[in-house]
Amino acid sequence: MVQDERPIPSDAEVVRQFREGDSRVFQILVDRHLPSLLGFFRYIRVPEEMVDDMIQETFLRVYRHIDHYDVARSFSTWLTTIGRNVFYTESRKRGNARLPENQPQPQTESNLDHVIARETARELLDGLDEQSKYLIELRVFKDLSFAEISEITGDPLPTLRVRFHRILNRLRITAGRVKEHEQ
Amino acid sequence: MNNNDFCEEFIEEISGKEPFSSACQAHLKTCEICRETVYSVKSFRSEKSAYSPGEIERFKDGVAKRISAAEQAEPAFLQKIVSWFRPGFSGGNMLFATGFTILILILGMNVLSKKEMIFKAGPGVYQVAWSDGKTQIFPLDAPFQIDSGSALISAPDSSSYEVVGPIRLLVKERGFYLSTGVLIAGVAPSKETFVGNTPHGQLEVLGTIFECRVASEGTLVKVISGRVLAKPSGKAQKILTAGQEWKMSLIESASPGETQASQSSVLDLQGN
Repeated sequence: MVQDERPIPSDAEVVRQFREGDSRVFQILVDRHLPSLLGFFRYIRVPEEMVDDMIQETFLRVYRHIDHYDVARSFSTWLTTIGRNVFYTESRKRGNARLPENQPQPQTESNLDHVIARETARELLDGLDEQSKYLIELRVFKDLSFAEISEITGDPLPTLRVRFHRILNRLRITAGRVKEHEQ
Repeated sequence: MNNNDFCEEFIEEISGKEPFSSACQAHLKTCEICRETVYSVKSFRSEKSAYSPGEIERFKDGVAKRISAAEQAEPAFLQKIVSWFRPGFSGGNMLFATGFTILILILGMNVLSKKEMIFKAGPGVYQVAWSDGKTQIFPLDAPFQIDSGSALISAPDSSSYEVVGPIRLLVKERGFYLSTGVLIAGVAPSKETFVGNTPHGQLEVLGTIFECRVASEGTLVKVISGRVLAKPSGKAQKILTAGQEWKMSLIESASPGETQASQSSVLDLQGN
Protein backbone atom coordinates (compact mmCIF):
# COMPACT_ATOMS: atom_id res chain seq x y z
CA MET A 1 0.00 0.00 0.00
CA VAL A 2 1.35 3.37 -1.03
CA GLN A 3 1.29 5.89 1.75
CA ASP A 4 0.03 9.39 1.04
CA GLU A 5 3.11 11.53 1.53
CA ARG A 6 1.50 14.86 0.74
CA PRO A 7 2.29 17.39 3.45
CA ILE A 8 -0.53 18.08 5.86
CA PRO A 9 -1.94 21.49 4.88
CA SER A 10 -1.72 24.22 7.47
CA ASP A 11 -4.85 25.93 8.77
CA ALA A 12 -4.01 28.97 6.64
CA GLU A 13 -3.75 26.77 3.55
CA VAL A 14 -7.05 25.05 4.30
CA VAL A 15 -8.73 28.41 4.84
CA ARG A 16 -7.32 29.67 1.52
CA GLN A 17 -8.76 26.65 -0.32
CA PHE A 18 -12.10 27.14 1.39
CA ARG A 19 -12.20 30.81 0.43
CA GLU A 20 -11.52 29.82 -3.15
CA GLY A 21 -14.69 27.79 -3.15
CA ASP A 22 -13.68 24.28 -2.06
CA SER A 23 -16.22 23.87 0.72
CA ARG A 24 -15.20 20.23 1.30
CA VAL A 25 -12.02 21.28 3.08
CA PHE A 26 -14.06 22.82 5.87
CA GLN A 27 -14.33 19.34 7.34
CA ILE A 28 -10.55 19.40 7.88
CA LEU A 29 -10.94 22.42 10.13
CA VAL A 30 -13.76 20.73 12.01
CA ASP A 31 -11.75 17.53 12.46
CA ARG A 32 -8.74 19.45 13.66
CA HIS A 33 -10.33 21.94 15.98
CA LEU A 34 -13.52 20.38 17.30
CA PRO A 35 -11.74 18.70 20.24
CA SER A 36 -10.19 21.92 21.47
CA LEU A 37 -13.50 23.79 21.03
CA LEU A 38 -15.27 21.09 22.99
CA GLY A 39 -12.54 21.37 25.60
CA PHE A 40 -12.94 25.12 25.76
CA PHE A 41 -16.66 24.95 26.44
CA ARG A 42 -16.10 22.38 29.13
CA TYR A 43 -13.18 24.33 30.53
CA ILE A 44 -15.41 27.35 31.09
CA ARG A 45 -18.03 24.98 32.53
CA VAL A 46 -20.75 25.43 29.96
CA PRO A 47 -23.64 23.15 30.92
CA GLU A 48 -23.25 19.89 29.00
CA GLU A 49 -26.71 20.15 27.43
CA MET A 50 -25.66 23.41 25.77
CA VAL A 51 -22.29 22.28 24.48
CA ASP A 52 -23.49 20.53 21.32
CA ASP A 53 -25.50 23.52 20.17
CA MET A 54 -22.67 25.93 20.90
CA ILE A 55 -20.17 23.87 18.95
CA GLN A 56 -22.52 23.82 15.98
CA GLU A 57 -23.19 27.55 16.21
CA THR A 58 -19.51 28.34 16.49
CA PHE A 59 -18.56 26.34 13.40
CA LEU A 60 -21.49 27.80 11.51
CA ARG A 61 -20.20 31.31 12.26
CA VAL A 62 -16.74 30.26 11.17
CA TYR A 63 -18.23 28.86 7.97
CA ARG A 64 -20.06 32.07 7.22
CA HIS A 65 -17.36 34.51 8.27
CA ILE A 66 -14.22 32.69 7.26
CA ASP A 67 -13.11 35.69 5.21
CA HIS A 68 -12.78 37.68 8.42
CA TYR A 69 -10.09 35.33 9.63
CA ASP A 70 -6.61 36.82 9.56
CA VAL A 71 -4.34 33.97 8.48
CA ALA A 72 -1.45 35.59 10.33
CA ARG A 73 -3.20 34.69 13.59
CA SER A 74 -3.73 31.31 15.17
CA PHE A 75 -6.90 29.64 13.94
CA SER A 76 -7.43 28.07 17.37
CA THR A 77 -7.41 31.48 19.01
CA TRP A 78 -9.84 32.89 16.45
CA LEU A 79 -12.13 29.88 16.80
CA THR A 80 -12.11 30.15 20.57
CA THR A 81 -12.91 33.87 20.38
CA ILE A 82 -15.95 33.05 18.27
CA GLY A 83 -16.87 30.26 20.68
CA ARG A 84 -16.67 32.68 23.58
CA ASN A 85 -18.92 35.14 21.75
CA VAL A 86 -21.39 32.37 21.01
CA PHE A 87 -21.44 31.52 24.68
CA TYR A 88 -22.02 35.17 25.67
CA THR A 89 -24.83 35.50 23.14
CA GLU A 90 -26.48 32.33 24.35
CA SER A 91 -26.06 33.35 27.98
CA ARG A 92 -27.63 36.73 27.32
CA LYS A 93 -30.60 34.98 25.72
CA ARG A 94 -30.92 32.92 28.85
CA GLY A 95 -30.51 35.97 31.05
CA ASN A 96 -27.07 35.19 32.38
CA ALA A 97 -24.10 36.74 30.58
CA ARG A 98 -21.56 35.72 33.20
CA LEU A 99 -19.03 33.11 32.30
CA PRO A 100 -19.10 30.15 34.61
CA GLU A 101 -16.18 29.79 36.95
CA ASN A 102 -13.24 28.57 34.93
CA GLN A 103 -11.09 27.68 37.87
CA PRO A 104 -10.30 23.98 37.77
CA GLN A 105 -11.72 21.90 40.55
CA PRO A 106 -9.03 20.50 42.82
CA GLN A 107 -8.25 16.93 41.95
CA THR A 108 -9.60 14.76 44.70
CA GLU A 109 -7.94 11.61 45.93
CA SER A 110 -10.79 9.51 44.62
CA ASN A 111 -10.27 11.02 41.15
CA LEU A 112 -6.58 10.30 41.37
CA ASP A 113 -7.20 6.70 42.41
CA HIS A 114 -9.50 6.37 39.45
CA VAL A 115 -6.76 7.65 37.12
CA ILE A 116 -4.15 5.26 38.57
CA ALA A 117 -6.37 2.32 37.79
CA ARG A 118 -6.21 3.15 34.06
CA GLU A 119 -3.99 1.14 31.80
CA THR A 120 -3.39 2.97 28.55
CA ALA A 121 -2.50 6.48 27.41
CA ARG A 122 -6.03 6.85 26.08
CA GLU A 123 -7.52 5.88 29.39
CA LEU A 124 -5.14 8.10 31.30
CA LEU A 125 -6.25 11.03 29.18
CA ASP A 126 -9.90 10.10 29.56
CA GLY A 127 -9.38 10.04 33.29
CA LEU A 128 -8.31 13.66 33.43
CA ASP A 129 -10.74 16.25 34.67
CA GLU A 130 -12.10 18.55 31.92
CA GLN A 131 -9.86 21.47 32.80
CA SER A 132 -6.68 19.41 32.73
CA LYS A 133 -7.76 17.65 29.56
CA TYR A 134 -8.30 20.95 27.79
CA LEU A 135 -4.89 22.28 28.78
CA ILE A 136 -3.24 19.06 27.58
CA GLU A 137 -5.19 19.28 24.33
CA LEU A 138 -3.94 22.80 23.66
CA ARG A 139 -0.33 22.23 24.66
CA VAL A 140 0.41 18.62 23.77
CA PHE A 141 -1.91 18.08 20.82
CA LYS A 142 -2.35 21.56 19.37
CA ASP A 143 1.18 22.58 20.25
CA LEU A 144 0.08 26.03 21.36
CA SER A 145 2.53 28.08 23.37
CA PHE A 146 1.78 29.00 26.96
CA ALA A 147 1.21 32.59 25.79
CA GLU A 148 -1.44 31.44 23.30
CA ILE A 149 -3.10 29.24 25.90
CA SER A 150 -3.12 32.17 28.28
CA GLU A 151 -4.81 34.29 25.61
CA ILE A 152 -7.46 31.65 25.00
CA THR A 153 -8.21 30.70 28.58
CA GLY A 154 -7.61 34.08 30.18
CA ASP A 155 -5.40 32.41 32.80
CA PRO A 156 -2.17 34.21 33.75
CA LEU A 157 1.05 32.52 32.67
CA PRO A 158 2.24 31.69 36.23
CA THR A 159 -1.10 30.01 36.92
CA LEU A 160 -0.79 27.97 33.73
CA ARG A 161 2.75 26.90 34.65
CA VAL A 162 1.55 25.66 38.03
CA ARG A 163 -1.37 23.80 36.49
CA PHE A 164 0.74 22.15 33.82
CA HIS A 165 3.32 21.18 36.38
CA ARG A 166 0.68 19.47 38.48
CA ILE A 167 -1.03 17.77 35.54
CA LEU A 168 2.18 16.47 33.95
CA ASN A 169 3.51 15.23 37.26
CA ARG A 170 0.33 13.36 37.89
CA LEU A 171 0.36 11.80 34.42
CA ARG A 172 4.05 10.90 34.66
CA ILE A 173 3.66 9.23 38.02
CA THR A 174 0.56 7.40 36.90
CA ALA A 175 2.21 6.26 33.69
CA GLY A 176 5.22 5.09 35.68
CA ARG A 177 3.03 3.03 38.02
CA VAL A 178 1.21 1.51 35.07
CA LYS A 179 4.58 0.62 33.53
CA GLU A 180 5.76 -0.99 36.80
CA HIS A 181 2.47 -2.85 37.05
CA GLU A 182 2.90 -4.15 33.49
CA GLN A 183 6.41 -5.40 34.32
CA MET B 1 8.35 21.14 45.34
CA ASN B 2 8.04 17.43 45.87
CA ASN B 3 11.24 15.42 45.22
CA ASN B 4 9.37 13.39 42.63
CA ASP B 5 8.30 16.49 40.70
CA PHE B 6 9.99 17.36 37.46
CA CYS B 7 11.74 20.70 37.14
CA GLU B 8 9.31 23.55 36.54
CA GLU B 9 11.99 25.63 34.88
CA PHE B 10 11.63 23.68 31.60
CA ILE B 11 7.89 23.03 31.75
CA GLU B 12 7.08 24.80 28.49
CA GLU B 13 9.69 22.86 26.54
CA ILE B 14 9.07 19.51 28.19
CA SER B 15 5.35 19.73 27.52
CA GLY B 16 5.96 20.71 23.89
CA LYS B 17 7.64 19.20 20.89
CA GLU B 18 11.33 18.67 20.24
CA PRO B 19 13.88 20.01 19.45
CA PHE B 20 14.58 21.34 22.92
CA SER B 21 17.00 24.13 23.69
CA SER B 22 20.60 23.19 24.47
CA ALA B 23 20.02 24.12 28.12
CA CYS B 24 17.00 21.82 28.29
CA GLN B 25 18.87 19.01 26.54
CA ALA B 26 21.75 19.36 29.01
CA HIS B 27 19.27 19.28 31.88
CA LEU B 28 17.55 16.16 30.53
CA LYS B 29 20.86 14.30 30.54
CA THR B 30 21.11 14.76 34.27
CA CYS B 31 17.45 14.66 35.39
CA GLU B 32 15.66 11.32 35.22
CA ILE B 33 12.29 12.72 36.34
CA CYS B 34 12.25 15.25 33.52
CA ARG B 35 13.21 12.52 31.02
CA GLU B 36 10.27 10.45 32.26
CA THR B 37 7.99 13.42 31.82
CA VAL B 38 9.16 13.89 28.23
CA TYR B 39 8.55 10.18 27.64
CA SER B 40 5.04 10.42 29.11
CA VAL B 41 4.14 13.40 26.93
CA LYS B 42 5.42 11.55 23.85
CA SER B 43 3.36 8.50 24.68
CA PHE B 44 0.24 10.62 25.07
CA ARG B 45 0.95 12.23 21.73
CA SER B 46 0.47 8.88 20.03
CA GLU B 47 -3.20 9.61 20.61
CA LYS B 48 -4.59 12.22 18.21
CA SER B 49 -6.35 14.20 20.90
CA ALA B 50 -6.97 14.40 24.60
CA TYR B 51 -10.56 13.62 23.72
CA SER B 52 -11.60 10.14 22.65
CA PRO B 53 -12.68 9.71 19.01
CA GLY B 54 -16.09 8.40 20.03
CA GLU B 55 -16.69 11.51 22.08
CA ILE B 56 -15.83 13.78 19.17
CA GLU B 57 -17.76 11.97 16.43
CA ARG B 58 -21.20 12.76 17.73
CA PHE B 59 -20.37 16.47 17.77
CA LYS B 60 -19.00 16.28 14.21
CA ASP B 61 -22.30 14.94 12.96
CA GLY B 62 -24.13 17.84 14.55
CA VAL B 63 -21.83 20.38 12.92
CA ALA B 64 -22.17 18.75 9.49
CA LYS B 65 -25.96 18.73 9.73
CA ARG B 66 -26.12 22.33 10.92
CA ILE B 67 -23.92 23.62 8.11
CA SER B 68 -25.80 21.58 5.53
CA ALA B 69 -29.09 23.03 6.75
CA ALA B 70 -27.67 26.56 6.61
CA GLU B 71 -26.39 26.01 3.06
CA GLN B 72 -29.82 24.92 1.93
CA ALA B 73 -31.40 27.93 3.57
CA GLU B 74 -28.87 30.32 2.02
CA PRO B 75 -28.23 29.63 -1.67
CA ALA B 76 -24.60 29.16 -2.66
CA PHE B 77 -24.70 31.95 -5.25
CA LEU B 78 -25.83 34.39 -2.58
CA GLN B 79 -22.96 33.31 -0.34
CA LYS B 80 -20.62 33.81 -3.25
CA ILE B 81 -21.89 37.33 -3.89
CA VAL B 82 -21.56 38.19 -0.22
CA SER B 83 -18.03 36.78 -0.18
CA TRP B 84 -16.95 39.18 -2.95
CA PHE B 85 -17.41 42.05 -0.58
CA ARG B 86 -15.56 40.48 2.30
CA PRO B 87 -12.07 41.73 3.12
CA GLY B 88 -9.10 39.66 2.07
CA PHE B 89 -10.40 38.80 -1.34
CA SER B 90 -8.22 38.85 -4.43
CA GLY B 91 -8.03 41.78 -6.85
CA GLY B 92 -9.87 39.90 -9.60
CA ASN B 93 -12.82 39.22 -7.37
CA MET B 94 -12.80 42.77 -6.10
CA LEU B 95 -12.99 43.96 -9.72
CA PHE B 96 -15.90 41.63 -10.25
CA ALA B 97 -17.54 42.93 -7.08
CA THR B 98 -17.06 46.53 -8.23
CA GLY B 99 -18.65 45.71 -11.58
CA PHE B 100 -21.52 44.02 -9.80
CA THR B 101 -22.02 47.06 -7.57
CA ILE B 102 -22.14 49.38 -10.59
CA LEU B 103 -24.68 47.10 -12.26
CA ILE B 104 -26.85 47.12 -9.15
CA LEU B 105 -26.61 50.91 -8.94
CA ILE B 106 -27.65 51.30 -12.58
CA LEU B 107 -30.56 48.92 -12.09
CA GLY B 108 -31.48 50.70 -8.86
CA MET B 109 -31.47 54.10 -10.54
CA ASN B 110 -33.56 52.70 -13.35
CA VAL B 111 -36.09 51.34 -10.90
CA LEU B 112 -36.12 54.61 -8.99
CA SER B 113 -36.70 56.61 -12.12
CA LYS B 114 -39.56 54.29 -13.00
CA LYS B 115 -40.86 54.68 -9.48
CA GLU B 116 -40.83 58.44 -9.98
CA MET B 117 -42.77 57.99 -13.18
CA ILE B 118 -45.29 55.85 -11.34
CA PHE B 119 -45.70 58.59 -8.75
CA LYS B 120 -45.72 61.33 -11.35
CA ALA B 121 -49.03 63.07 -11.13
CA GLY B 122 -51.28 62.19 -14.02
CA PRO B 123 -53.73 64.43 -15.90
CA GLY B 124 -56.12 66.24 -13.63
CA VAL B 125 -54.22 65.51 -10.45
CA TYR B 126 -51.02 66.45 -8.66
CA GLN B 127 -49.04 64.81 -5.91
CA VAL B 128 -48.06 66.28 -2.57
CA ALA B 129 -45.12 64.77 -0.68
CA TRP B 130 -45.23 65.76 2.96
CA SER B 131 -42.13 66.26 5.08
CA ASP B 132 -42.77 62.95 6.90
CA GLY B 133 -42.39 61.11 3.59
CA LYS B 134 -46.07 60.37 3.02
CA THR B 135 -47.68 61.33 -0.28
CA GLN B 136 -51.17 62.35 -1.30
CA ILE B 137 -52.91 62.96 -4.62
CA PHE B 138 -55.06 66.08 -5.08
CA PRO B 139 -57.26 67.20 -7.99
CA LEU B 140 -56.11 70.21 -10.01
CA ASP B 141 -57.79 73.56 -9.35
CA ALA B 142 -58.97 72.47 -5.91
CA PRO B 143 -57.84 74.80 -3.09
CA PHE B 144 -54.68 73.57 -1.39
CA GLN B 145 -53.95 74.98 2.02
CA ILE B 146 -51.47 74.23 4.81
CA ASP B 147 -51.04 76.21 8.00
CA SER B 148 -47.50 75.13 8.86
CA GLY B 149 -44.71 72.84 7.72
CA SER B 150 -43.60 72.26 4.19
CA ALA B 151 -44.44 70.03 1.26
CA LEU B 152 -43.25 69.24 -2.22
CA ILE B 153 -45.81 69.39 -4.99
CA SER B 154 -45.33 67.48 -8.24
CA ALA B 155 -47.46 69.03 -10.93
CA PRO B 156 -48.75 67.13 -13.99
CA ASP B 157 -46.34 69.00 -16.29
CA SER B 158 -43.40 67.67 -14.19
CA SER B 159 -42.84 71.06 -12.57
CA SER B 160 -42.38 70.96 -8.84
CA TYR B 161 -43.21 73.46 -6.14
CA GLU B 162 -41.71 73.56 -2.72
CA VAL B 163 -44.25 75.21 -0.49
CA VAL B 164 -44.01 76.46 3.07
CA GLY B 165 -47.02 76.99 5.25
CA PRO B 166 -49.06 79.01 5.84
CA ILE B 167 -50.01 78.88 2.18
CA ARG B 168 -53.12 78.93 -0.01
CA LEU B 169 -52.68 77.70 -3.54
CA LEU B 170 -54.39 76.34 -6.62
CA VAL B 171 -52.31 74.03 -8.75
CA LYS B 172 -53.12 74.16 -12.44
CA GLU B 173 -52.20 72.08 -15.48
CA ARG B 174 -49.30 74.39 -16.38
CA GLY B 175 -49.07 76.93 -13.59
CA PHE B 176 -50.58 77.94 -10.30
CA TYR B 177 -52.54 80.55 -8.48
CA LEU B 178 -50.86 81.54 -5.23
CA SER B 179 -53.17 83.48 -2.94
CA THR B 180 -50.72 83.73 -0.06
CA GLY B 181 -47.55 82.05 1.18
CA VAL B 182 -44.13 81.08 -0.11
CA LEU B 183 -43.52 78.89 -3.12
CA ILE B 184 -40.32 77.94 -4.92
CA ALA B 185 -41.10 76.68 -8.38
CA GLY B 186 -38.91 74.48 -10.53
CA VAL B 187 -40.62 74.81 -13.86
CA ALA B 188 -40.21 71.95 -16.31
CA PRO B 189 -39.37 73.10 -19.84
CA SER B 190 -42.26 72.88 -22.26
CA LYS B 191 -43.53 74.51 -25.43
CA GLU B 192 -46.50 75.63 -23.42
CA THR B 193 -46.00 78.78 -21.39
CA PHE B 194 -46.04 78.34 -17.66
CA VAL B 195 -48.23 80.89 -15.93
CA GLY B 196 -48.13 81.68 -12.23
CA ASN B 197 -50.78 84.02 -10.94
CA THR B 198 -50.97 85.98 -7.71
CA PRO B 199 -53.40 88.67 -6.59
CA HIS B 200 -50.81 91.21 -7.68
CA GLY B 201 -49.94 90.05 -11.15
CA GLN B 202 -48.83 87.27 -13.42
CA LEU B 203 -45.54 85.47 -14.01
CA GLU B 204 -44.75 83.82 -17.30
CA VAL B 205 -41.83 81.47 -17.76
CA LEU B 206 -40.63 78.88 -20.23
CA GLY B 207 -38.42 76.86 -17.86
CA THR B 208 -36.76 78.20 -14.78
CA ILE B 209 -36.54 78.14 -11.04
CA PHE B 210 -37.97 81.02 -9.13
CA GLU B 211 -39.30 81.89 -5.73
CA CYS B 212 -42.63 83.54 -5.25
CA ARG B 213 -43.76 85.05 -1.96
CA VAL B 214 -47.24 86.41 -1.67
CA ALA B 215 -48.47 88.55 1.18
CA SER B 216 -51.25 91.08 1.41
CA GLU B 217 -48.92 93.96 0.54
CA GLY B 218 -47.53 92.39 -2.60
CA THR B 219 -45.82 89.54 -4.44
CA LEU B 220 -42.05 89.18 -4.31
CA VAL B 221 -40.51 87.29 -7.21
CA LYS B 222 -36.92 86.10 -7.01
CA VAL B 223 -35.42 84.37 -10.04
CA ILE B 224 -32.93 81.65 -9.25
CA SER B 225 -32.23 80.52 -12.80
CA GLY B 226 -33.65 81.28 -16.24
CA ARG B 227 -35.93 84.20 -16.93
CA VAL B 228 -39.37 85.26 -15.71
CA LEU B 229 -41.72 87.72 -17.31
CA ALA B 230 -43.49 89.55 -14.49
CA LYS B 231 -46.74 91.26 -15.36
CA PRO B 232 -48.02 93.35 -12.44
CA SER B 233 -51.70 94.17 -12.58
CA GLY B 234 -52.19 97.47 -14.34
CA LYS B 235 -48.48 98.18 -14.65
CA ALA B 236 -45.69 97.64 -17.19
CA GLN B 237 -44.29 94.14 -17.41
CA LYS B 238 -40.62 93.36 -16.74
CA ILE B 239 -38.25 90.54 -17.56
CA LEU B 240 -36.36 89.27 -14.54
CA THR B 241 -33.17 87.28 -14.99
CA ALA B 242 -31.28 84.97 -12.62
CA GLY B 243 -30.45 86.69 -9.32
CA GLN B 244 -33.00 89.46 -9.77
CA GLU B 245 -36.02 89.95 -7.59
CA TRP B 246 -38.97 92.22 -7.85
CA LYS B 247 -41.92 93.13 -5.74
CA MET B 248 -45.24 93.48 -7.43
CA SER B 249 -47.91 95.27 -5.49
CA LEU B 250 -51.10 97.12 -6.19
CA ILE B 251 -49.55 100.27 -4.74
CA GLU B 252 -46.00 100.41 -5.99
CA SER B 253 -43.31 98.32 -7.56
CA ALA B 254 -39.56 98.62 -7.36
CA SER B 255 -37.27 98.40 -10.37
CA PRO B 256 -35.43 95.21 -11.22
CA GLY B 257 -32.01 94.99 -9.56
CA GLU B 258 -32.96 97.10 -6.54
CA THR B 259 -31.68 94.53 -4.18
CA GLN B 260 -31.75 96.54 -0.98
CA ALA B 261 -35.38 97.51 -1.33
CA SER B 262 -36.36 94.02 -2.41
CA GLN B 263 -34.48 92.36 0.41
CA SER B 264 -36.34 94.43 2.98
CA SER B 265 -39.56 93.37 1.32
CA VAL B 266 -38.56 89.76 1.71
CA LEU B 267 -37.92 90.23 5.40
CA ASP B 268 -41.26 91.96 5.82
CA LEU B 269 -43.01 89.16 4.04
CA GLN B 270 -41.39 86.61 6.31
CA GLY B 271 -42.79 88.51 9.26
CA ASN B 272 -39.36 89.25 10.79
